Amino acid sequence: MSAPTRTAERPAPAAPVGGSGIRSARTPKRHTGANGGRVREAVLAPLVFLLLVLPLGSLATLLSGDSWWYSTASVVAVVLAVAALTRLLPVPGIVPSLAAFAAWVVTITVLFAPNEALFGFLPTFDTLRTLRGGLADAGASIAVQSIPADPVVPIVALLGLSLGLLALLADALIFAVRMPALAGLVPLAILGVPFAIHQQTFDSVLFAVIAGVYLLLLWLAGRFGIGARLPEPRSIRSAVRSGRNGARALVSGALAILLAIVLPVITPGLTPESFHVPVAAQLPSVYSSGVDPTIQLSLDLRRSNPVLSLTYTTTSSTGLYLKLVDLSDFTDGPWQPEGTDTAHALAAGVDAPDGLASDVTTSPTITSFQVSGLRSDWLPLPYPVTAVTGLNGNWTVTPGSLTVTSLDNDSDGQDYQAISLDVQPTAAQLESASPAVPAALSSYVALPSDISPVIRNTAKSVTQAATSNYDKAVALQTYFTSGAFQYSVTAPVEGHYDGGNFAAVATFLSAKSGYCIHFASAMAVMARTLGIPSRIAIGYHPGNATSVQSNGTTTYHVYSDQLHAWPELWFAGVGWLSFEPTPGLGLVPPAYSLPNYAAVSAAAPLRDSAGNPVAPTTTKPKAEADSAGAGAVVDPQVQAAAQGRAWLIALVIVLIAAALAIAPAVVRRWRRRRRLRQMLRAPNPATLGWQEVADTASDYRFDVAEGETARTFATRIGHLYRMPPDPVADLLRAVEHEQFARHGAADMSPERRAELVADVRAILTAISAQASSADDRRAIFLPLSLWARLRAF
Amino acid sequence: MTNVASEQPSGEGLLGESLGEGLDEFRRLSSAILENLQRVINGKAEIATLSLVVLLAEGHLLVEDVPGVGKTTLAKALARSVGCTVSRIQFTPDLLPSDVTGVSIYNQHAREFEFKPGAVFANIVIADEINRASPKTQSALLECMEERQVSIDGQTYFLDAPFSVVATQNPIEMEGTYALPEAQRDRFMVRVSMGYPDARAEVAMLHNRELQSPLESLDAVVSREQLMRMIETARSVFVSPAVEQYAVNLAQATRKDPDIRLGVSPRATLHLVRAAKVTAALDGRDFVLPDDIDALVVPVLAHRILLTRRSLSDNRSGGAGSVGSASHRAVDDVLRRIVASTPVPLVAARKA
Repeated sequence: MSAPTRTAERPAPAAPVGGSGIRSARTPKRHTGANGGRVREAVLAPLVFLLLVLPLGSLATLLSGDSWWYSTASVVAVVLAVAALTRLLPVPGIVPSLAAFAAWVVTITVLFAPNEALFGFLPTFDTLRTLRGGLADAGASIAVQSIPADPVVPIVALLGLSLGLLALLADALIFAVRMPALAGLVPLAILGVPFAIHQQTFDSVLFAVIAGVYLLLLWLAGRFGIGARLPEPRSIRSAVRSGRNGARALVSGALAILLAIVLPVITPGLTPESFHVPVAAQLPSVYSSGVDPTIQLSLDLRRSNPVLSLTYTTTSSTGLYLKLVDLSDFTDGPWQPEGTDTAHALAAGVDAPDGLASDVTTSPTITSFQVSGLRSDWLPLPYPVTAVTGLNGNWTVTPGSLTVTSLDNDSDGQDYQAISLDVQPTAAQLESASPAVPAALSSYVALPSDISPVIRNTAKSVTQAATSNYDKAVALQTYFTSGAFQYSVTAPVEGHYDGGNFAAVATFLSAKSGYCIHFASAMAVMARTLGIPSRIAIGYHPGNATSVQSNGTTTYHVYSDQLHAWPELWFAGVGWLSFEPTPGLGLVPPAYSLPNYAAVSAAAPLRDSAGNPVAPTTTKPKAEADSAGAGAVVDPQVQAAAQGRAWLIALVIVLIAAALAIAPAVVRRWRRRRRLRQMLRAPNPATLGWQEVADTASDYRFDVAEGETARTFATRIGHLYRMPPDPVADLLRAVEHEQFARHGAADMSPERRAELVADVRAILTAISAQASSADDRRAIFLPLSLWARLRAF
Repeated sequence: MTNVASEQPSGEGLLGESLGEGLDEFRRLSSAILENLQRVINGKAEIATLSLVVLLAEGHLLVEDVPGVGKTTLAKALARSVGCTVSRIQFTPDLLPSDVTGVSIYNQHAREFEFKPGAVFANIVIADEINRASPKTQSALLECMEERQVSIDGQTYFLDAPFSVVATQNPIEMEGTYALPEAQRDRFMVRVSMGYPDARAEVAMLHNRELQSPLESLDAVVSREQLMRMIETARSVFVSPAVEQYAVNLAQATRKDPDIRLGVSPRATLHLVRAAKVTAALDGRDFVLPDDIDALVVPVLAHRILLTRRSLSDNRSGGAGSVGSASHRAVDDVLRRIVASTPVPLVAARKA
């Protein structure tokens, strides 16, 4: 007790009662000068920069080149740097954000609208106008361009503008609002863009790196004391001091990232497509005269998310093949769409179909179209069309192919009606068609001389038995559809024979695997080697009926993955007829192209009566099986089923999550019931009741300290508002007796036990009564007592 | 908590019944003693109770404070309230050990040495200003305190029970004092600091003492036999293994604490439990609660603990209160922290 040191009494730091010397020594350090804190906050700025720029890299799949990346990254860098540097100065919290905003405005002005700026950098109203125009341009060029897009100035400006704004937002969230966790939404928003536009395999490495940067940012923010501190129970505070557990932070962060990557992979049925909804609002499929239609066709077929291209309602009993364009000029290079030199205005009327004699049965079909997701210079129409009405803009029609095209407008958003003919030739008419080719059609049998002999030889061997052109055509189609060939959208790409040219046709004939364009071009070329005029039609296959109206019309939805190519062959007296050599799509070839057409048409000459009953019953299952096997063309119904399954899985996951969420509440409730029940039997009823009271108090976030005696705790509880004093005193007396007195021989009477249970219940009710309903909920769903129990292990 | 003992009528048979009766008598007598004490020292009920606890637990009391706050009055009042023999020794630097213990004198008539008992041969010994005596004399008294016997010239004389020393001392910083060494402080069960009375108590004191000292009118309310029975009753209070473990845990904690240079001795644990038994009995209980232990930790343990220099200087604050109280407060703070962080049996049991 000797205290000879009479040193000058210095004001001691307020000694924390529960604090060890180490902690009390450390506490003041946190407040050493706001300047140190500012420097530390500035250190976070590079991390925020990474957080914004890394996900920007994922846009590389959408935009070609890398110039856009540099300009966008520089905007972000300028904004963040200005904010960080301003923050080094002793200024109020909002000033850095305002400075960053100013920096953003100036940077955008200098980079993207320097001409209208005052002194070269101050924005004016003209700048605003220019930028607004630029944004509209960006929207247009995004809609028109296919992926990867050319980063034209408006798109880059849009990127810089939005990324700069996101940088502002992230900076403000972390430093001004002091909620660093919310900054994670920013990279998420950027990452989301490429996947919304163009579904691709997820780059796990990039994601892991971004998540790592994000968690590092959070950890540092916690260490530096950035972020609003919420009051937390002392029990948690003492166990986990924020930002000072390096190893724990590292392990839990790594675990979180790992889970985020691994969990979706091992969860069945959860693929990027699962939650995808085909809506008309998606980007339209793009066809223009400048784009190679066959390449675009293969791209559209491989699209994993088909978009609704158009809807049509027709009086026809079956679906219609809708032709966009013909390929007829088979040259050595890639095959180009038919020229429109002979085209004339649509208003002048549609020419009569080539070679269709008046003795062939035809019936008119009226169809109305709504195009929603197809941006094309050509109009999807059935062949042969006789009239088109209701179009906006100037449209021309090309004789022969009867395709309708426009030079100043496109198909997107068009709403029109077309009258077409359903040609129903008899077998006899087809058989008797003359093999002679009129001079006007000589270009439809023209072939380069150096085409692979394989094509010619195959055509000959396939049609050996056939005599008439019609029989040969039927034999050719049968050759493709008889099972030797397989449908695949990927095989041609892997085998490098994608596209429309003779080399591709020859390779296809030996590989025997491809998709519609290969079947169509092979049949068309082989027909030409046999002297039958042929061309390739590109358009949509009929698709599936979605609804039947009361007036007998049927509505069809056509998706971008129903893009199709098929050969059209010419027969004297009948004209151009469509054939269907492509297997595996569940498409029914036209009745006249089947080998037994002669027999069928003799019995029932009209295709309507023969084909109709068969089609719906046989095609559907086949379609499902085939598209599932091919895995490429997704039938809307199959897709709907898949979606339903995905939602089911999502529902199950939600249910499991909900079950997990209420599990603590259930366990806690069960424990209470068990204790109250045991109080009637067990040798230590009062202790059990006391434990229940203490646990409930801890659920309600009372501090239940280990070093506190029962009596002190009871005093505290007794001071609660509306706490009845008698049950507390009674229970306390009982528990003290039970715990610390000599153990009596006699057991407690059942009445006394019931009294104790009543005491416990009264206390619990009183605790709940004084708490707010929010406290009640928290106590029920997040019972702290369970956690304390776990920690004790 | 008055009817606890009667709540378990079929409890322990004869023992329980006699204990129940004992407790009744205990309560009656103890409240009479406390009443007496209260009349003398205005306010300060806590200190009165503590001094009674020490007497009933057969311990020794060390009253420490600046002069004039009523240390001696308390000791005298306590002694007077029980009908026991009382002796008082004023310790001075020239006091000899034989003045305390007694001396053998040659009786010329009887031609033999005759033992003249010293002041220590009484039931209650008031050792006033014990730190003014030389260490030699101090240790003579302190030996008697522990051994309850006096050995002179090879002859051992036993002291009558009850035997209790009430020592007073001035704070050690004052002049002309010999500080009690740690080993000797350890023999006192409880150290209390009187502290200044508050304003109202001081005014009341002025009125009380206008005519005569209240000590004069104080009568013995307890006979020696009754006191012995009370001590016996307190001894028989039950201490559950959990509470014993708790006391041991507290003692162990003082030995491991980084702020403490010297922890408490096993004797301190013994004293703690003995005193807790009396507090329980005063409360009318026949068993000890952790609360009893908690309440006694500071009075029983504080004077046995030496803080590290660092924690002493950390806690030294600007001279408020009486001299020397800064270091006392520091010790009290450390002890309270230990009490707060040591798990109480009941709570600890539910974690098992």
